[in-house]
Amino acid sequence: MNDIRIIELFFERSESAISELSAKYGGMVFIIAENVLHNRQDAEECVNDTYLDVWNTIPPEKPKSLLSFVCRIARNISVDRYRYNNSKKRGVYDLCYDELKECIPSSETVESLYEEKELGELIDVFLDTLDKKNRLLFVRRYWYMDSFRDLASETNLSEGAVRTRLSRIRDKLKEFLESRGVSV
Amino acid sequence: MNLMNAVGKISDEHIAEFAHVTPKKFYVAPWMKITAAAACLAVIVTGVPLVKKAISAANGVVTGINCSASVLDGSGMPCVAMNGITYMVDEDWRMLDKLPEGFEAVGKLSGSSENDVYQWCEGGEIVYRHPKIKSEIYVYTDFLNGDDGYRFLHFTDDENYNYTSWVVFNGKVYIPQSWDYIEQLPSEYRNSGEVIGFDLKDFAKDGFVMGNDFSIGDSIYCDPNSPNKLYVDHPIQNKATHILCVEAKEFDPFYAGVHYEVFINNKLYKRDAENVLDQLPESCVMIGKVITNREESVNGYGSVLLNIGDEIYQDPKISGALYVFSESYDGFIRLVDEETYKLEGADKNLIYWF
Repeated sequence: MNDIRIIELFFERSESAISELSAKYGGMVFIIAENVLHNRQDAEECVNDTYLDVWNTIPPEKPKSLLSFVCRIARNISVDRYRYNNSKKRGVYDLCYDELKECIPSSETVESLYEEKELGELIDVFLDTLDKKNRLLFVRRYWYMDSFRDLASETNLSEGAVRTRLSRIRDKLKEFLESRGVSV
Repeated sequence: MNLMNAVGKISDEHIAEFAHVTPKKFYVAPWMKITAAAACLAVIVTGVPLVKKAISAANGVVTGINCSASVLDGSGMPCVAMNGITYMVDEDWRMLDKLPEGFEAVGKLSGSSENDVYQWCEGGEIVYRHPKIKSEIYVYTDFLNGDDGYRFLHFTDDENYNYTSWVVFNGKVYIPQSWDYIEQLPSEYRNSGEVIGFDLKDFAKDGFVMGNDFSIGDSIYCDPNSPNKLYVDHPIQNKATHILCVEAKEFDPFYAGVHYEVFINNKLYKRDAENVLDQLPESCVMIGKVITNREESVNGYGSVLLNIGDEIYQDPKISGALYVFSESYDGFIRLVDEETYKLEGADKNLIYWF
C-alpha cells in the first residue's frame, strides 16, 4: 500500500492504518530502535510507542514523507528511552555523541548562537556538499546509529576505511561549521 | 548542546535517502552454512557437466560474457561484467606470468576498446576462472604491460572486493599501509611530486590515484634509498597528515586499517573480522580490562575499538588470541596477534581451496 493511502487510513481513524504501517515500515522502525538501545524487548516497546505516537499525531499532521516521519518518531522515542534507562554502560549513542562532540569547539558559544533546529539545517547543507557514499556513512552512523561493522558491509569498505572516512567527514563538518560562524 | 540532537533534526530527504540501506552480510548459523555447502556441491556435481557441454557446443566461446566499465567510489576502474557479476581489477593491479593451478578458460571478452568508456579492454581476450571459485577471474591481456606483452590480470567480484586507495609513482603502485598518519616526516624524505588525478587515462602517469581518500595536489614524498615506500600528505585543516604507502609486495594486511585494536604489554592484537561470538569458550578467564581508548601504544590495555572497562578474556593455553565483549559488535570479538593472524590466514586459504 502506498504512503498516501496509509495516511488516509490514519485520517479515517481506521485501525488497519497501524497494521499497514507495521507491514511497510515495522522492520525499519525496529532496526532504528535496536541500533539505539541494543535491547530487543526495549526496541519492541519503542516500536509500539512509535505506532501510538503516529496514531496520535496523524491527524492533524499530514507528513510529506511518511517514511521520514515514522523514522524520526522512532529515533526520538528510542533516544528518550535510552536516556531513561541511563545505564552506566556506554552504548552506541554515547559512542556517536563522543565522535561528534569534537566538531563543535565551544558548546557554550554554539548554544548562544544556534538552536538545535538551525544547526540541523546547517548539517543538511553540509550533507549536500558530500558525495553519496560519505553522506551515507554520516547519516547511517549518526542518524541511524549503525555499527562500524554494518557500515563496512553496507559500503563495501573495510572498517578501518569507514572509521577514517568518518573521521575526515567530522573534520570537514567542523571546518564547515566554523566557516558558518559556529566557532570559538 | 548535543550535536546528536541537531543531527536528529536533519531533513526528511536525507533520512529517507538511506533508509533502505541494510548490511549485506549477516550472521549465518553453522547448520545453514553446512546446508548451503551441501546444496552448492549438489549444484556443482550436477551442473558442471551441463556447463561444459554448453561451452563445447559453442565452439569454446561462452555466450553471455561482456566487457563493460563502471564508476565505483568516484573513480573509474576497469571491470568485467560476466553472468550478472561485476569483477573489478585489483587495487594493486596484480598480474601474473603464470596462471594459478585450477583456473580454466571460460570464454572471451566481447566489446572493444573504442566503445569502452575507459578504453582498456580488447574483444577476444581470454577469461579464466576456477570451477570452485566464483569470486575471482583472470584476463590474459597486454593492457598497460607495454613491452612485457601478455600477462594474467586478476579481478575480484564486487562482493569480495577490498576497496582501498592507491597511488602510482615511478611507474609502481603504492598502497596505504594503514590510515594512521604522521605529521612530521623523516628528514630523508623529499617532496617528489603530487597527486595529479583520478581519471584512468592518467593511470600510467606518476601521481595517478585510485579512490577518493586522496586529493589532487596532495604532495608525494620519497626517499631515494627506500624505493618500496613513500608518503602522501593529505592535509586536513591545514595540518599535514603523511600516510605511509608501500609497494604491493610489501603490504602487510595485519597492519592495515587502524592499528591499535588491543595493545597489551607492547604486543598488538588485532580483530579478525570474521569472529564475533555469542558466547566465550569455556576455557577462557578474565585477564584484565580495557583502561584507555587512546589511539597510541601504551604499556597496558588500550583500544580504539572498545570501551573503557570492557573485560578482556584469554584461554591460558592460547597466548595468541583474546576475547573482548564489544557492544559495537554485539558479541565477543576475537583478537589475534600477528603470528596467529598469519597462521589462520594460511588455514583459511586451505579451506577456501577445498
